[in-house]
Order: sequence, then C-alpha cells, then structure tokens
Amino acid sequence: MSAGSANAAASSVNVSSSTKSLRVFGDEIWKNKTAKINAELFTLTYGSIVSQLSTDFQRNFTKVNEKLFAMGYNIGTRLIEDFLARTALPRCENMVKTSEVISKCAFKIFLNITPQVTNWANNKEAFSLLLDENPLSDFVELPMDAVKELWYSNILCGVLKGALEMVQLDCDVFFVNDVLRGDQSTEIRIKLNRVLKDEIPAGED
Amino acid sequence: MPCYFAIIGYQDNPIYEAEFPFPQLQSFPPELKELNPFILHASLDIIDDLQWQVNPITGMSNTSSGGFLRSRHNNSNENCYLGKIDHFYGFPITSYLSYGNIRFIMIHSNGTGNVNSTQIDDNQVKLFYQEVHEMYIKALMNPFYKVNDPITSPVFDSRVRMLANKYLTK
Amino acid sequence: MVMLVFAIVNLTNFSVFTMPLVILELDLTGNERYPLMSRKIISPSTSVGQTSVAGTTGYDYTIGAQKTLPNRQQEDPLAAALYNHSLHPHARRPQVSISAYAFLFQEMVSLAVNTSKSVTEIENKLHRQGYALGPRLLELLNFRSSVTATSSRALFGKSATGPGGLGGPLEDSLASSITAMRRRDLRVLEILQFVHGPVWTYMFGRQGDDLVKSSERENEYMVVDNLPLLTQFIGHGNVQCDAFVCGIVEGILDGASFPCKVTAHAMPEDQHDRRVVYLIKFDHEVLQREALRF
Repeated sequence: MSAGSANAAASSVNVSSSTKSLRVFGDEIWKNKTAKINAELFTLTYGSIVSQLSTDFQRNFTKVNEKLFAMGYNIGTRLIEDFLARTALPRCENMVKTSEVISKCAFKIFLNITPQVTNWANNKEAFSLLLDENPLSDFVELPMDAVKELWYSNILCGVLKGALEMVQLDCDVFFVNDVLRGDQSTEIRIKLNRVLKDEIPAGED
Repeated sequence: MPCYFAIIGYQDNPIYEAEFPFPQLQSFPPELKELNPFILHASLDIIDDLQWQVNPITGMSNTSSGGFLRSRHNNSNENCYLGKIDHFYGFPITSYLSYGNIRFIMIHSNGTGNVNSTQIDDNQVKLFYQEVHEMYIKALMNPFYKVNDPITSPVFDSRVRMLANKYLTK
Repeated sequence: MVMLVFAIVNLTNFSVFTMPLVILELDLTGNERYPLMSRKIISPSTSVGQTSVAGTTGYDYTIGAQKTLPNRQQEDPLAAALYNHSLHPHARRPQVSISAYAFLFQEMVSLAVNTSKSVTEIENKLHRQGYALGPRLLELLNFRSSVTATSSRALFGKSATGPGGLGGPLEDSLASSITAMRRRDLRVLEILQFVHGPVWTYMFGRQGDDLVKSSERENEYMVVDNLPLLTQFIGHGNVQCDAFVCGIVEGILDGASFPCKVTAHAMPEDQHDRRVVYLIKFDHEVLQREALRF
C-alpha cells in the first residue's frame, strides 16, 4: 500500500519543521493516499483474536499480554517500512519530534486517530500517549477476571516497540491506564532507553 | 404489572432471567413464581412454529396454533415482535425474536390472578423488547461474550430493569 | 446436530433451568468444532444458600430470576461504556486503513499457522474465528437497517463519555426511535441476498460480484468475489485464508437458523486471478422446511 509515496516525499520536505503542518500532512495522506476498510470489522477481528488467546492460554492474562505484545512487535518491524515508504519522512532529531510523528502521522494514517502527547519526563526522553478513542477496544467489556490483569490493546505497545527499534530507538512501551479497567484515561508510556548503533541508516534502501 | 422475563437460547437454555416487581404492585404469588420457568418453556413450541410463519402477528397463515389467543389489533407486517402468543390462566405471555432467533419471552401478571384484568399494551411491550434487543446486541458485540452463553454483566441486568421500569409500569 | 440430553432433575425444586443434578450430553455427530455453551457444572450444594449481594452481580443462571427493584443502583459510568455507546454506525470513526487491517490479519494467520499441525487445522482455526463474528453481524446489521433516516435523533447521542445519570443511559437508544423492525429473513433467497448485499457491503465496501444457484444440486449456492479484500496481501499458498470469511458467512447463516457448510474455492478467471467462489451447502432440513412452509 505504498502508492503515492513519491508525492508524499515531495511534500514532506516542506512539512518536516512544524507540528501543525505534521497534522495537515498526516490528514492529507489519510484522506487521499490511504485505502480504507470498515473500522468495526477491524475491531471485531481484533476482539476475536484476543478472546481466542484468552481461551488458548486458559485465561492466564499475563500470557495473553505477552502474546499480544509479541504479535505487535512483529507487526511493528514490518509496519515501519510501509510507514516510511508512504510518508518519506526524514529521521527525527529528538524524542519530541518522534512523539509528534507517532501521534499525528502514524496513528492517523493507520488507525485514523490522533492521540495526545503528554506527561513529558524532565529529560524529554519519556512521554505518554493519551488515546481518547481506541478503535481496538470499541464494544469491549472486560470480564471480571481480566479487569486487573489484561491490557486489552497491548498489541499497540508491541507495534510501537517494534517500529521504534527499527529506527534505532530502543524504548520501553507499556500501558499505564486503560478506560476498560475503569481508569480515567487510556495511556501508553514510551520511554527511551538508548539510541542504537546505526548499522543501516533508517529510511534508506 | 409484575413480569417474569427471560431470554432463551438455541438449546432452550436461559441466557438471562429477571422478575420485575414494581413497588406499587404485588409480586407473583409464591406458588406461581416457581412455575414461571415451566409456563414459559411450554410456550416455546408455539414460538418455534411462529418463527417460520410469514405473518406471525396477524395469524394469517393456515397453521393456526395459538392464533386465537393472540392480539388481533396489531396489523403490523413485522415478524420480530410476536405479540401475545399464549396465556396461562389469564396471564398473557408475549414474545419477541431477535435476528439470530434468540427468544425473548415475558409472562405478564397483575398479581391478583384475576383472569380478565390483565391487558397488555402492545406498543409499550414492543418498545420494551426492541430496547432489550438493542442491549442484547451490545452485550453480544463484546468479544468476551459467546453467543448463547448466559449474560452475567451487572450493567446489562440493571439496564434491562431500567427499561422494564420505563415501559412496563403503568 | 443431533443432541440427546439426559437430565436427572431434582424434583423437590421447581425451577426447570437451575436444578439439573446430572446432565449428560451425547453428541451423535461427533462434531466438536463448535461446542455448545460452556456449561458451568451446577452443583445443588453450592447453589442452594448461595447469596448474591444486591447490586453487585448480574444474572446468574445457577440462581435464576432475581427480584430486584428497578433503578436500585447507581452504576459506574466507565464500566458501562459498552452499554452507553450508541450502536449507530456514525457514532464511531467509520474506517481504519486497510494496511492496519492487513497487518492484523497476517498476525492472525501466522498465529493459526504456528499452533497447528496441518493445513486443515489452520483453516479450521481461521474459520472458527470468523464464525464467532457471524451472529454479531447478523444482529447488528439487521438492527441498524431498521433505523430509518428520520430517526436520526440517536445520531447525535454519541455519548462515549456520557454521564450515567438517572435515566440518562437510556437516552441515546436507537430502539426507541424505530417504528418497524426489519423483518427476519425466512427464505433461503432472502438470507442469501442479505449476505451478498448488506454483509458484503459492510465488510468490503461493495456487494458480492455474483450470487448463483447450483444447477446440479438443490442445496448449493455460490457467492462470487472477484477481488477478495482481506486476503489480497497474503501470498498464494496452500492455506486458504478465505476460510475466515467462510466462517463469517456460516456464522451468519447458522445464526439465522439456516444451518450450512461454507467453503472457499479459488477459481481464477481472465481478468480476476484472485477470484474466489464461496460455496454454501445448506443442510437438507433447510430445504425441507422451505418446501413445507412456503
């Protein structure tokens, strides 16, 4: 699904500076260069996967979390190529920039949502994404035995972890809160551990 | 009027049951209360027949089982709400079928056992069923719920009771 | 499926539902692909005298109907999000990117591949996951099509964060604005048109390419899709990933009481090298019923 990446490359030169234009850029790709599918089918398919895993692991939700994370990680390592091909964005110089790209481009282009970036650590190396909407968890009511254990959308953490690692950012990515558990918000924490050694420059073939 | 309401699954298993006692009215007499599930089960055969009739409400079809018992003033073309399908010593029994053929059944009673005094308001009852149907779909959409399993969500339970309060108290 | 159920019922208790002492189920067809509802074992000694605290639990079928007063509890609005959120199609973002779906679908396939020993097992797993969606789509799409354009009040009842005030949670219901529910489909052709039309449009953004009745066998129908959307990113392999869609279709038809088996067959044609034919074989009871009723 990388049609139109040439156009994207042309326009990305202008937009890579400011936050506002990143949003416009993300919206533009979503509107004009993204093939789409019914979001509810996506929701239902994911639900079917999580409930299948819950059965397979005999309701050991710690294992379900791990499995979802691993599946996400697999996706992330492949998704980043698709993302770079479609956006042709240059390397981000710092985590602030990275956070903007994740929220306004990546989430927008794939899931049509734009999480808020917030709760920055003092050293600007850790931040949170607040998901006001979450297309994975529509229609979900956690069963009693899962409320304390299961991070229903944990696949997202895996995706972020995998994708960031592919651009040399070794991060911890984990859920802090989830409205499904009765929390006030759905919050993913992203914390940079270190920048990996450049073996293959990101974004170049 | 107090009502006994149940949602029945494919294997005639109960998915949900509730009794709606409204504060200002008496509840089921104890000797009847225990019979409720039996009465309701007895009417399942009638529903199985109505399920495949073209016009279950007007009873236009040749097969006429239970037809004379049912409400006549409703000339709707619908086949989800079945109206009054049966009665038990004056207590009307109404029913509704979801698209997945999950059966919603209710025994209406005025608590006194007076044969002629229990009238049902089809419009209100139908609206009640439609609303419960919507709640049922929401419960069904939850990936942790399997079709035909009992619905144990406390939220569902409280919503259905709120709906009963809204539509069935007169 | 033929079921024999033997139940020894404790006759001192009058509830038909709650008190079987022993239930033996013999499944004569040996078909265990879709087990019936997962039954808790009901033991009289634990269910008698079991007390539930009013307002903390929902329906428990080992106890039966409970008598509680309406509006007795103030529920936690967050826990009720599923029930607060309108079912109206416009109450949610309508779309996500197809690549997001493709990544997810690929993971679902590899999950099935990694936990299976044979191709049949993989396909059965995908089929089963699709099957679980069938009854949901059947109810949801029919219910939604009962909502007319004029009853758009609920369109604005988008209360993802709606307060669960007294009476409030019921405000955004669609049902109260429905004047006539869409009719349940009773005939084979009606339900097939539902699959070929609304279901296909919902899932893939367009109708199925063709709906054909087999000229050789009474009980066989085919839905043709020239360009299957979900499997376009999966390479041609020996695993038929369209088994997922088969599961969905079978789940819908079974749910509507049209028991059948659905299989997918790759049948490329000139311009459509990914063309898939979904073969629907209805059980004979369906045809018998149809002959008897209509």
